[in-house]
Amino acid sequence: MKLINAAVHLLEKLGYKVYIFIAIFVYTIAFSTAEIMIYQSFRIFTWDLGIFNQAFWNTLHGKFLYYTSEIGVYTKTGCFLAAHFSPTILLALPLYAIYPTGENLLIISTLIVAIGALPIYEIANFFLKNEKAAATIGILYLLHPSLQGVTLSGFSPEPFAVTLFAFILYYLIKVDLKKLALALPLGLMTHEASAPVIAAIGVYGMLQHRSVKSKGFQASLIVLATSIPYFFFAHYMRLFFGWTGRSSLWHEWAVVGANSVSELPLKIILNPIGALNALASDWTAKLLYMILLLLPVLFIPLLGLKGLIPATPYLSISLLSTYRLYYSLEGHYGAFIAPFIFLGFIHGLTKLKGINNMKISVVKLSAFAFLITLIVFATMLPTVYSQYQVFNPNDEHNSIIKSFISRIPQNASVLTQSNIFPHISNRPNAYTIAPPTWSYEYMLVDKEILANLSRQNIEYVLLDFAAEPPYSFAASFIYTEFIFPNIGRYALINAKDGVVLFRLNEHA
Amino acid sequence: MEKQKTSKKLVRILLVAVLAVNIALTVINLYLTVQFNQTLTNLRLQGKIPDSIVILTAKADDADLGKPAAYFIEEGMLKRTMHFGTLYAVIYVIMPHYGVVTVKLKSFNLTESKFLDQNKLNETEISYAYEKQSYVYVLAPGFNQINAQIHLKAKVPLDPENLPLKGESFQFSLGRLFLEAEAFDFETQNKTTSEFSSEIFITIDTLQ
Repeated sequence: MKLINAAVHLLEKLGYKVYIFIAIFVYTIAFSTAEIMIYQSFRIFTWDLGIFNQAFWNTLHGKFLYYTSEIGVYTKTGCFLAAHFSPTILLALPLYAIYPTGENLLIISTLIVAIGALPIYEIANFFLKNEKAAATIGILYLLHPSLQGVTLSGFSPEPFAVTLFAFILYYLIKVDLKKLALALPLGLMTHEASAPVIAAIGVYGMLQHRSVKSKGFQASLIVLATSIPYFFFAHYMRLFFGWTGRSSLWHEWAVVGANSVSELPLKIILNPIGALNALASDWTAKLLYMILLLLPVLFIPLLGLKGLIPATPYLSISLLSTYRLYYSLEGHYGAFIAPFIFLGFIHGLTKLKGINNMKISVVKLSAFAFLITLIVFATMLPTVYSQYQVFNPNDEHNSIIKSFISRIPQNASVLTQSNIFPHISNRPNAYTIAPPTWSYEYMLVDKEILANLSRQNIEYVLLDFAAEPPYSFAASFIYTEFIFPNIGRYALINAKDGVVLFRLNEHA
Repeated sequence: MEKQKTSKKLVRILLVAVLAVNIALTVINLYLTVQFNQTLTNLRLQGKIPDSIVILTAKADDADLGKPAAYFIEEGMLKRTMHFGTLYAVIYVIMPHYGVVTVKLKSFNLTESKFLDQNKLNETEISYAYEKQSYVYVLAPGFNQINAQIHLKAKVPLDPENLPLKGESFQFSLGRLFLEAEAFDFETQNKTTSEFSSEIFITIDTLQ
């Protein structure tokens, strides 16, 4: 009875916020389940997941954030902090230690993304003074297509970034300086690319609080002033941890003439025609991206442009790039924009609410947006999921891969393609290559990696020629560039349904 | 008031109708998915080739290695040339399982020619253009057609006394190159080979 009373009391105290907690719980369960299903069928976008499973596993075993797949490419030392200065990800380490697997990382990242609904609810409630509408907006946030991209991309620094951006915003709006002092460094340390976004949050905060004398304005100024030098500090830290200095292999801003984000502002000024060309390239996809970002919130953020200020750094970066993942909803890059779409939405709603002669119910408008989101969600999600064929797993084939993995001793060195890699990356000497079809430059890098690995005695090579196209190409590439030139050194020990396991000959 | 009630009713009816249509579409969708999967399974069963059967045939076009890429002149006379070119081959393989097919150079039968230095015929060499390049292709179960482009290099010792006048160019057959395609089935570990050949031509243009 006491327990029931306590529960009732808690529910009363939480009010509409309880729906947010339920939504977080449901979201985490639903998306974790879907992701684990994709993971178990060796189909998930596994490049990052493999990296973090290996980096975390090695950290627990004495090698700090050590991973192998980008040694010589972005990192000289094998430390992940050379590729991206993201120490905040270490917050997940204690949870990972409980059950150190790829599945656990998927659950952790989904939970982190879902928690973002809480500050969004608080921000909505702060501006709209309406718990019901705030709860709807919080749930709406979880259903936004850009957030699905972050979630379905698995574990990476971006899930931390998206949630911490929302918390920084909330603490800045509420002027909760103690909590802001905690969230700000954590947010900055998610990714070096978070610094410009947080700087823009500072600009937003200054416009929001207006009065120079107000604590909120001063705190915003500190946020802005901290973020700019931090951006350069993060680059220095990457060098400190062994960054090779190589810029991204995707050449995202080649049209503008920039090799990296930091070069972009100057290049835009020096080459405005190039910038316009970059903006115009693949413009239909970019337009669709913008529509899909704003449609679920009924384009209301356009009425609250102030809220979109923190979205401008990423929007500029993505729309000036020629790298499609930057302006599609599939990748985890939605992290740099999702909370601000909702900040704009909330500001837009506040504006509508303030117009006296317009009898618009904020709750009804939120509910309508909710309906639109559901339609977008229902239309888009099956197309996203169909590429993984999540509801049609080939159990027989998957069990063959699993049985082959079980034949590899835990301490043995292994080379495999990237969709199998997360399943064997819980060891320091697991290796993979990026699908060579990603780009010609990736193919050259893969060749270099395989040539280096040829000089080591990799004990096992596991390939799945029957995998989905990008991964089966990687399997073929590993065979032609690694096994075939070393054919005398490797014995085929088992093959079934396109899954082939090679072992280094004992005398090799 | 009455109008408001009617519009509310209308909205409700619309919502129910949309829901009903969606349920119906979902059922049809599920039915089609199941049917498609069944068809796929049937196709897989029909397309299953007995384990022991591997059919491998290969053929190649005649290859023209063209004009010399390098001239070797000793005592003012053209003694040797080096040629690079591509041999186009097509390999057809029917496999019961996944595997690979590799293309190897087997032998080379030199054609008798007055343009070649008869004392150095054994120095005539035909090999892969790039030593590190391997001609290995992954095969899937079923029918595979591989269009192979084999980059070749030929070193040809010439008899300077029989070469045509300076500035002229002529093509002649250097010989017949024999190649072997070897299919390897990962599962059964069986090897199947097929030989094929190609006439190799070169063009000599004496330097002006």
